[in-house]
Amino acid sequence: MSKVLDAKVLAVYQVAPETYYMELEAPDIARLAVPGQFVHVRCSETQEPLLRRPLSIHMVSRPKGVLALLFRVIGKGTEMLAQRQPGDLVNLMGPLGRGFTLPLPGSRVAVAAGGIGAAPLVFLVQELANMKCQITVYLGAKDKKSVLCDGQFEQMDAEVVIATDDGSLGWQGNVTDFMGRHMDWRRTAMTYVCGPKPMMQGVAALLAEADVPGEVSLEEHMGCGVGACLSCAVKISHHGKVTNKRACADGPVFPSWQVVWD
Amino acid sequence: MKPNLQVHIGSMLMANPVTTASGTFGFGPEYAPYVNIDQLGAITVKGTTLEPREGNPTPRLVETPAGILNSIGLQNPGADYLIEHYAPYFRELKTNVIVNIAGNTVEEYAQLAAKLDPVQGIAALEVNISCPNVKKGGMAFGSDPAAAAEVTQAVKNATSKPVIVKLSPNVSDIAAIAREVAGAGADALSVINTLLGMAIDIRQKKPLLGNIVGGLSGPAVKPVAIRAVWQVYQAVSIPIIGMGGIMAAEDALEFILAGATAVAVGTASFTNPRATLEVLEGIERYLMANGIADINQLVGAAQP
Ligand SMILES: Cc1cc2nc3c(=O)[nH]c(=O)nc-3n(C[C@H](O)[C@H](O)[C@H](O)COP(=O)(O)OP(=O)(O)OC[C@H]3O[C@@H](n4cnc5c(N)ncnc54)[C@H](O)[C@@H]3O)c2cc1C
Ligand SMILES: Cc1cc2nc3c(=O)[nH]c(=O)nc-3n(C[C@H](O)[C@H](O)[C@H](O)COP(=O)(O)O)c2cc1C
Ligand code: FES
Repeated sequence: MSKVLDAKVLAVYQVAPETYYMELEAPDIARLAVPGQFVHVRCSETQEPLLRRPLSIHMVSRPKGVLALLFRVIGKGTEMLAQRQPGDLVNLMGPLGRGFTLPLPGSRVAVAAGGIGAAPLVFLVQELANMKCQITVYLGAKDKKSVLCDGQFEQMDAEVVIATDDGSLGWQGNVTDFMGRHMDWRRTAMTYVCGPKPMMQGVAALLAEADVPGEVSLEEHMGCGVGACLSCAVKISHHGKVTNKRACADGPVFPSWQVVWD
Repeated sequence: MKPNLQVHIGSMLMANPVTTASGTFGFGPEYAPYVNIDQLGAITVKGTTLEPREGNPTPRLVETPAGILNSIGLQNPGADYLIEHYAPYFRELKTNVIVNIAGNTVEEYAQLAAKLDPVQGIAALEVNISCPNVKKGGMAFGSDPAAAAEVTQAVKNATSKPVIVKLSPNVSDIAAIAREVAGAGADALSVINTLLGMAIDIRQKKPLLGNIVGGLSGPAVKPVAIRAVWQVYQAVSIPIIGMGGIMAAEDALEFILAGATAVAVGTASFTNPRATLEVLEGIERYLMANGIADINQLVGAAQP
């Protein structure tokens, strides 16, 4: 069951342009969390900003009771969060949402990350590696400086393929194009995707064409984070019927073939 | 000694004056991990219509200074689903459940009220004639005194449950509407629904909400809400449930002093999922610190 608690900041540092890593002491959340879930973070102690910010659970260490976030500073909330210092308390709700569906142990899986979309996928690869899966991570970024988590993925024995928009590291181009040309879908039991919407939509189209299963992690503006306010509606098609689902409670992870992109 | 916190909203007895604002607390279970719901005086659940509704396009929520704009558009699973899936849960709760209802026509309001009338586990109906996010019905009924009275009367005739009518602040004379609605037989009034508002993205040069306009709530609306409760209290003698920007007990006490018998906590639950209970605890502490034996002594105490 989800908790609300004050978590102590253990470490915070910049890892790439506008991108911060934060470690928090939150054993009650770390214990329950599964990959793909998120925490709803209060970025300040005042009413500015009023709403919490949803951030994926980037990594957990259950023995240490530690939870890590990886976030890009894009506005007021994330900017305030990046300024927190070790020892400060950050109020968290979590773990929230429905995470990724894990494959059978030992499966061959693909993981596609675009930009900050790598954040939840590190926790996922942690879990997949524990299950002795054969993992290939397709990691897309703007340029060499912005490539995230490649070292972490490699440490967990995943094969890492990097694509940068400017070609400053790895393949030049985007992850979707690379996967479109080089993937052997018949040998892939499951594909997990998190990144900007056009990238997720692109990979979902490849998956649909190859008729293989995959999951995407969607983003929508959130109020409550717990399924109560219906702010975070996403269009999901199930047996031909399109309905609104709540990204926070029914997702954020959805089967790639069920998402209605607009 | 523990002060008395019990209040009456029509024939509904609340163990304490705190409920939730419709649309901000789902149907209850969503907040159960954070709040013991039975400790609240009531919960007011999401706006319900006869048929299921899919609501408005996204984005449906935008943060504004000290507030939020929402344009959910009454997305809800419909009355049948509520009766089948949520009513059994409502019956297990010790607290009161208030169901917020909406419709496109007077007949729809009446049909819905009639349908919910025999359902056990529902303590009262809150009639939403003030939703700024739907094209038909909603606020159109709440801004015309005659139409507001007509809906009230139709719902009253269709149910034996207490009827609470929720008023819109988007009117020039809220007291006039309150008088008509009270005259038509309402048992209580909820004051206020959201204020019609809008925000624009200056980079994209487009409205931020999918629905273009939405309802403003949160701390930004509190002074407007307090004023509305103050005026309505002077106009009618039925109880008022005050809401609009209550973040803490101090805010709730302002509403009570202005004339609210009960209060609803809305947007605050998004910031702090325990806000409802913290408001209640704060009210109780205030009564004890000030030697006030009964919350009812405080209702309207700031009025001349
Ligand atoms: C389930 C989920 C997981 C996420 N995980 C991560 C993560 O691990 N790392 C990371 O850097 N970002 C993540 N995001 C995006 C992150 O929530 C936004 O970048 C953040 O809310 C921006 O807040 P801000 O105040 O800095 O920006 P502002 O632009 O000032 O925010 C204004 C409002 O818009 C909302 N908003 C803006 N962008 C987004 C967005 N992309 N998604 C949802 N709401 C948004 C904010 O929450 C806030 O309510 C995730 C989003 C979701 C829905
Ligand atoms: C996301 C959201 C959904 C709402 N849905 C409803 C609704 O379905 N019916 C209704 O009468 N009021 C609805 N409201 C209005 C609230 O019940 C309340 O009147 C208003 O938000 C003011 O209180 P607050 O400032 O404490 O949130 C909604 C408000 C929000 C923020
Ligand atoms: S954020 Fe409230 S329902 Fe998803």
